[in-house]
Amino acid sequence: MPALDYLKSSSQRSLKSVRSPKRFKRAKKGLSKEVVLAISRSKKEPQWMTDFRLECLDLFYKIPLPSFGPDLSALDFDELIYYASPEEMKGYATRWEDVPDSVKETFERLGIPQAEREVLAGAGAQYDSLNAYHKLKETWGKMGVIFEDMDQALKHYPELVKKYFMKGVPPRDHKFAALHGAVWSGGTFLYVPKGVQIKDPLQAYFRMNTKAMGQFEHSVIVVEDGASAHYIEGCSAPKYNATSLHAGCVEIFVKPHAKMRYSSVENWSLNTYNLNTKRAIVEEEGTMEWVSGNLGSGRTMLYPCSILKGRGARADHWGVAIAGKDQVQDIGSKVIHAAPETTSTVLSKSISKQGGVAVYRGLLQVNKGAKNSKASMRCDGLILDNQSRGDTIPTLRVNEKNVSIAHEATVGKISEEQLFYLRSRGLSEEEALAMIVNGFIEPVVRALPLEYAVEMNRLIAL
Amino acid sequence: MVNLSAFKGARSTSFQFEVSKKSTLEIVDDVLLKERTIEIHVGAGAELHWQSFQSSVSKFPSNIKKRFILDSNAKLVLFEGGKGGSKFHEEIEVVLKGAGAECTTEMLFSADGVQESTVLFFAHHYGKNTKSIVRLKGTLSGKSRGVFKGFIRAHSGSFGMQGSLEEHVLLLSEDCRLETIPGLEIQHSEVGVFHSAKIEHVDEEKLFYLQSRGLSTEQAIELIVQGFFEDSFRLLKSSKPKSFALSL
Repeated sequence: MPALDYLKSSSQRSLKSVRSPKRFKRAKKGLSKEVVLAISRSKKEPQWMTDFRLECLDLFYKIPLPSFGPDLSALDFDELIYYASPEEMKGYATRWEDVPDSVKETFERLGIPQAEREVLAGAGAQYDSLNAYHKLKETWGKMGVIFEDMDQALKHYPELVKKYFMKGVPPRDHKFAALHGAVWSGGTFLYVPKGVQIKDPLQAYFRMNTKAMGQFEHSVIVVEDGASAHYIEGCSAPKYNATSLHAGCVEIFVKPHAKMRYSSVENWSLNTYNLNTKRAIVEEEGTMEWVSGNLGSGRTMLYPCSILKGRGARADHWGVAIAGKDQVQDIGSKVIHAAPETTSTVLSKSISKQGGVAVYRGLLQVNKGAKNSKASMRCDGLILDNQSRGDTIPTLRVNEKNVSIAHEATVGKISEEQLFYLRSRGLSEEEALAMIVNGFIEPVVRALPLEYAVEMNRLIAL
Repeated sequence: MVNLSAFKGARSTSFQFEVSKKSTLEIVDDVLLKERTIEIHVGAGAELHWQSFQSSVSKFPSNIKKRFILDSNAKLVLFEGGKGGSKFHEEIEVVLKGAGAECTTEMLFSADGVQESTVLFFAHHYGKNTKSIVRLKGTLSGKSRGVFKGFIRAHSGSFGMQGSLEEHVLLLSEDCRLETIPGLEIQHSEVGVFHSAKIEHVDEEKLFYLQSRGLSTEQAIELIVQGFFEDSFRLLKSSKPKSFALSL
């Protein structure tokens, strides 16, 4: 039986709110060498990539599951589908009109209307394993900016992709990085040439539509000397009974004096395991900003990492996590100061409610020689009821004397005084609670693009 | 007041005792032992002041484990000072079992040479309205390595608990290494918990000021280190800490 077969999508009809494509091209269930080879063949990849995928598969079998964080024992790798795309989607479109109607409708219903693209420098939309749409405004294309679907970038810019692909996140890092290397599909390749400062943000939206699906998009962003860019990522999936896995990978290379902001709002359905890996390598005087909103997924393990490699490099991490019923949000930031005069700030806000568990698990490491580095880490947790839980487990590792490091964390409930004050001004209890919660996360939400900030505020509404 | 001098000369000790209801006990523990396991039950309304000064000059490792169980309204004032030994390992666990139990802890450590100093502190809050205040201060010099791990755990039902954990480390040499993990595990919302960690080196300005007043670099650093530990001694009644502080 061929590894890629064609199946009628009768099972897809449980998704009532969004019309699904009728037929799917997808890999057979489970993980094997055959599946990996079939994915590589279907993309007509160069031999080095096929070999790389197989090496990663070997590593995946060797590396154990993480010994920390939420329980992943229910994740059955043999029950997942590692590659799927609507049959009617033949490659990605560069004109919105050319996107298959069923796929287009899904994205429009998710609030990615055509009008939104007017304010973006570029936009991409990935549906299951493949990009449905990818477009960069002509102005930026003329300046040498590359904004491509990852599969296409591998064909069009093989040397450039080879130079950076999984160099920031090596597959040996952990089990899911190895899995990702074996079955990755789709994602974005963004290359901003020297000195080009893209004023408007670029956006990609990821949708996992197939039941029991694994999505493994790979994004590589290279911001050359003195250049700057802002990339926004949004994620969602419909609700099925079967478990899904999202193990994407983002690698960002911030060259000297460059600036990069990566904003993401993840709102996967509750049956999704979100085990994403994001890492930036920041060179001299470069700046990396991570803005993250983690709202969905049943189990999340996500620790965006900045490696400050060059003198004077800087990283800012802002994150909000909301853990509701049946959710474990195990999130945090990793910052490694590997050069002198590097600076980092981490601000993390978490809210747990209805029995949810929010965990901040961070790492702040100062390597020997990273003199005069400064780091500050702040994580605050708000627990809204007695069934919920909030943990804070930061690790601070310092191997250099001349540093200044400060860390603070608080965990608590909504103050009765604040509630009383707002209620005495005529607000109902619900309104008062919503106002306090919004105020609590406001410093992070402020850093998000407006439409996401609005979405987040709406989702948080109690 | 109890002095544990009876244990002098012993290699290790393991004992348990109980501070009975509503009584007050003060213990000064400065007996050097390589192995020590202690479990103390502080009864309802009782108060225990425990001052421990471990100043080992030997090349041998020392391993200390202490567990305090506090009944309702019991109070524990704990002062732990430790230095010396090739490997210094101290683990302290405070179980705040009864409602209204309180624990105030100051832990002071200094590591030098190639010493490895591991200090673990766990506060388990089970009772309602329990309170723990923990301050951990340490200096690292030479090629020493410090691992400081503090945990406050609010178990379900410990409504109204308050916890605070502060870690403050002064790095005195180029080759010292530090790992600190200040953790909080909170299982309900009726809490007020805070923790902070600060890692710094000797302030160049302070050093310059003292040197401009005629002090050598060594004397100036010594004075700064003394100042760093100074406010931790406010908990203590006896004169013992002064001499211990000067030796840190």
